[in-house]
Amino acid sequence: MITAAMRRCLGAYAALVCLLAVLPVLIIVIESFTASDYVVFPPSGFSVKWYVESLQREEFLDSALLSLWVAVIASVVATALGTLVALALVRFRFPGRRVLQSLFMAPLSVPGIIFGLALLQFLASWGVARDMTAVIVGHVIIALPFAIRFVTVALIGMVANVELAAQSLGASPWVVFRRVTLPLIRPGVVASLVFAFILSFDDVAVSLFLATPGTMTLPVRIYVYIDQNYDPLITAVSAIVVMVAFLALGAIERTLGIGRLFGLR
Amino acid sequence: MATVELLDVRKSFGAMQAVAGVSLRIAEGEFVALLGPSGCGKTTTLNLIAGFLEPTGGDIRFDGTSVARLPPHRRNIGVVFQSYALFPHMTVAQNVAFGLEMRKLPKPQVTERVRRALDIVHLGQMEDRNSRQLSGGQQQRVALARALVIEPAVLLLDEPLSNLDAALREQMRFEIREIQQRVGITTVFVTHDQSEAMAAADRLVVMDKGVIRQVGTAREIYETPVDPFVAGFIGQANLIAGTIDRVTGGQAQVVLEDGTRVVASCRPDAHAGQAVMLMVRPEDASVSAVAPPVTAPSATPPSGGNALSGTLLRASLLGATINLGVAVGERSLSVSVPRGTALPPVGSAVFVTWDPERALLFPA
Ligand SMILES: Nc1ncnc2c1ncn2[C@@H]1O[C@H](COP(=O)(O)OP(=O)(O)OP(=O)(O)O)[C@@H](O)[C@H]1O
Ligand SMILES: [Mg+2]
Repeated sequence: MITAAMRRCLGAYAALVCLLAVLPVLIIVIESFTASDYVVFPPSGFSVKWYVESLQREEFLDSALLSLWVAVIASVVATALGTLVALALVRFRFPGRRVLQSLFMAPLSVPGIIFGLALLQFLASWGVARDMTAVIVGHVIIALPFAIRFVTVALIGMVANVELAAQSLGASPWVVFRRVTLPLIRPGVVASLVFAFILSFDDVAVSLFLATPGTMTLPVRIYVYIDQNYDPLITAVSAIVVMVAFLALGAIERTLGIGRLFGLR
Repeated sequence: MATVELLDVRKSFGAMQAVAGVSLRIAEGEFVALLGPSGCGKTTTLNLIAGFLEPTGGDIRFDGTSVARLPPHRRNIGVVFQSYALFPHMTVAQNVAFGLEMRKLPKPQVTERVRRALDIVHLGQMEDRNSRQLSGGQQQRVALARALVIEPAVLLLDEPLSNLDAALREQMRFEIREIQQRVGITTVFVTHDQSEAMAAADRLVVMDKGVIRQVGTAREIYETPVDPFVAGFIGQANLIAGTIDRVTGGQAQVVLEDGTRVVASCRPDAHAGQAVMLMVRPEDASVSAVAPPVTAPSATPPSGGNALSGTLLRASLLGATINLGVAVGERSLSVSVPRGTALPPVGSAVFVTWDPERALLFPA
């Protein structure tokens, strides 16, 4: 039994957790509107000059665009691969299936920074240039376990035998996938796309090793910038990133529902 | 419109033999009912015919040609799954239309045939309903319409009526039979309901533990079951252990466990001293308060008089018949008599009698 008092306590606790999670980010956003030339909280005066400034800084715009492209491509590739892997692991029984299952989850247990270093060494030893493709490959690898997970959950949740029913009605394997399997695992696929996108867009550890001056993703650009200067420009850039993420989440909530994304509904 | 042949078909899941050597020839347009206890391999057999599973041994042929290499979507089959397996993201009409679309029928024709199929299963008003919002029985009927509408060569039905009430069940059974005969669809029908199987099917196939125990018409199986399992599975059977004492012209004298002597029809290979099971169907037996006349003159029942003395335990009216329970020694025998039969009071001493012609002996 949950009493009214307990319910209130739980509510307050949940609110506190949310506040702690959002507060630091909120402070950055508030700071970004300062009129001063240094980072200060509370901000002194109100101005959007740092936003104007940040939009004029070409290196940030280039990095933002690059990050966007990398994230889009990495999430699509990771989701496509993840779907194929999940289909194989769920639909077929073959020797070594268990081992493969664990192997595909392995990147989760390796710290990003170590993985980035390893990938750098690996690419170097193969003589592959550090470029956008390298960054995308890195992001695909870190996103793949999540993609496999999301699609696997969706596949397991599918009504039994619907694919066989479609086959019996004359649908070839490809038609079965397009008309039955894909529509039914769509929530998992969309979740994978979104999550992979966010992982890629946020990643610092892996990109840091693979970035060159020409291929610096936005988080790396921010990181490098902070290393040398700390002015409100960076808070404005950060605020923009936060708002983009918020907009993306808002769009998903409107179309799919965030809960659906994590299988809560 | 195809003969279906199973030739020593086997299917193992790891160490578990789900189908352990099944051979069966189903004629073109024939309607065969597959019966057997839960887990005996009925669904597995259907899945093998459909091509959802690959046999681990033996061969399956449609019209004499092996279909081992033919994927399900090229076999021209219709399947109703035990779990319905409707497409949850489609409406009722879209579910039924799926197979017709795969066959590239023009749109107006699809609409027309879907409508007719839904009318047949009494779901004419439900076309645009989402298939997730249907009751179990409604889902089952959509599944049936979806399989029937394509008028396949082979129809595989896995308990397609299990979720319907008695009246609807009978109607649907009639409709399946009608379409099946009109189009000449070779049909395999899995059911737990033996009266349904006996009413609808041309032949029954009784399975147990992955093998076929007996194949035959309802009458053959009911009147001459090959073993106690079939006897007990199709219809009811009283089974009493005994030993053959003497064989004379197709009939054997049997000494039952408790020493009673009875007579029963036996197989040609029966011989004295053989341990046997005596089988009497409840409706072939009757009860009377007085010993039957044959046994009356002497103390020991002579040959020809089949009577076991016992106590009438209960009498339950089951509609057209009354089911009686009679305690004979340790065991309880079941007797069924027409409604309205005059009966001794419950608790009184009675004799259970039967016609020797109707009693069968199985090797124990
Ligand atoms: N995919 C599978 N993996 C392992 N064992 C299986 C599999 N499918 C079926 N079996 C086993 O094979 C046997 C036969 O199963 P099947 O589904 O054919 O039974 P059934 O006759 O249809 O039973 P029911 O009347 O309960 O539907 C069962 O013992 C079952 O546990
Ligand atoms: Mg079954």
